[in-house]
Amino acid sequence: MTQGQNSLAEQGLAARRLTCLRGERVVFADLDFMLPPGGALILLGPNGSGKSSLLRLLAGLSRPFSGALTWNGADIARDPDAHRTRLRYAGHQDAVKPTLTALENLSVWAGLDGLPDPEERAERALAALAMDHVADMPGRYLSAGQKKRVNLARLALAPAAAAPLWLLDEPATALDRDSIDRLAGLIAGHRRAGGLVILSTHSDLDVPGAVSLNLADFGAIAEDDEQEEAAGAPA
Amino acid sequence: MSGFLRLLRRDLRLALRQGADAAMAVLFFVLCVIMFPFGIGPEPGVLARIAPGVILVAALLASLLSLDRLFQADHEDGSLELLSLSALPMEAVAAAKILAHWLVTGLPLILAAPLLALFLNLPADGFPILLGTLLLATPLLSLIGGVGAALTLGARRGGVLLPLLVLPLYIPALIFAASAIDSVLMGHSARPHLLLLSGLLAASLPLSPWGAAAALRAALE
Repeated sequence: MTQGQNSLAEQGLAARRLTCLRGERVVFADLDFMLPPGGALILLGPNGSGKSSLLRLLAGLSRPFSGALTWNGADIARDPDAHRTRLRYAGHQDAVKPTLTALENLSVWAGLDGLPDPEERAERALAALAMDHVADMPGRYLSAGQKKRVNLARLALAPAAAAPLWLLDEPATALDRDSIDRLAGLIAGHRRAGGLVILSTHSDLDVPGAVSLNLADFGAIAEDDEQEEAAGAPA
Repeated sequence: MSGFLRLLRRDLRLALRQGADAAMAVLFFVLCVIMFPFGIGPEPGVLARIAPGVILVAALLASLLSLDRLFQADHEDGSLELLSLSALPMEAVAAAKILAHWLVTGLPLILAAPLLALFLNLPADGFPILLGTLLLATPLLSLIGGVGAALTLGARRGGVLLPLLVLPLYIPALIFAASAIDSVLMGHSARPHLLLLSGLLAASLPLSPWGAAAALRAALE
């Protein structure tokens, strides 16, 4: 799909012949993509096709069975510390502590990422997702969508230059229409500033100019896999 | 402020807001020790003889009580994943959480110990050395326990597995701590026992966070 762009300078994130195993099963195999600065990649595919596995793998939370990931041409596995400072990962779990307020939750993450003035940054980031009115509310009183927004507000903490790679696993789940639009705005702003976004989604999050990658096309290459192929077919 | 202190402050704040964890460990400690006079009978000589061992074993069990939650809460809500992706190395994450565990459970035990020593008729000479050994032994319990908590993270029935794994490792600390108090009560020097206890602490200070971090990384894969 994007292999043709390899002749371009090796800016951004690239995956070559990436294979992911879960237990004994091949989730996807020989996956290639190349994402330049400002690019967006939308991961598609039915449940179990490996969208979350790929995002965890890109975040360095798990290792690929084979294949390589490069950032600006350099192998990520060689310098995992540099890789994790350049990425923001938002998974299925929102990591919101029930006894801390929304603002405290967020400023802890800002502080741990070593950003200056974590409290002020956290306030601004909450405002970016229209969460400033519940900043002082403890996490246990927040709804599922509000918790999600607190988690997504981490994206707005640092400028795109500090953390250019966003990895978002179903970021639009549980969000209302307005919040989805705000998230789309955040993503657009991040890309304009040269950031990269890779996300998986089932809902209608509007990401103009995004390349989509259907993971079902890369699954089920193992010998004996009629079942997998049936499961891999889009419903 | 460094990330280490921020994480420590977050964990202390969580513990204070929840409150129950710290209070529970101390209450368990007190109740556990109070059971002995009921079971053995109020013979002052016998109680004084068993006081150091009873207090140390009760402290050990009390610090075990909240150990299984050390990393589990962060693992369940996804915080541990984010911590592993933060600028803070995993070893520092483990060290901060182990230190928070000691401050929340170990330190209150030390404060409650003199009262319990009084209940058990421990001779007055034994009080300073009791506090001294607890000051060395309780951080050791949190450090060794931290590795166990990281290893059992994500295991089914980890809460049961953890004591089975950690209790045997507590034995050296228990032996040296108890013999330090006993030797003072018998008029000998506690120095060799305290030195051995300090040696154990000095070895676990760097090794435990390192081991716990490796186990946490494995649990996240």
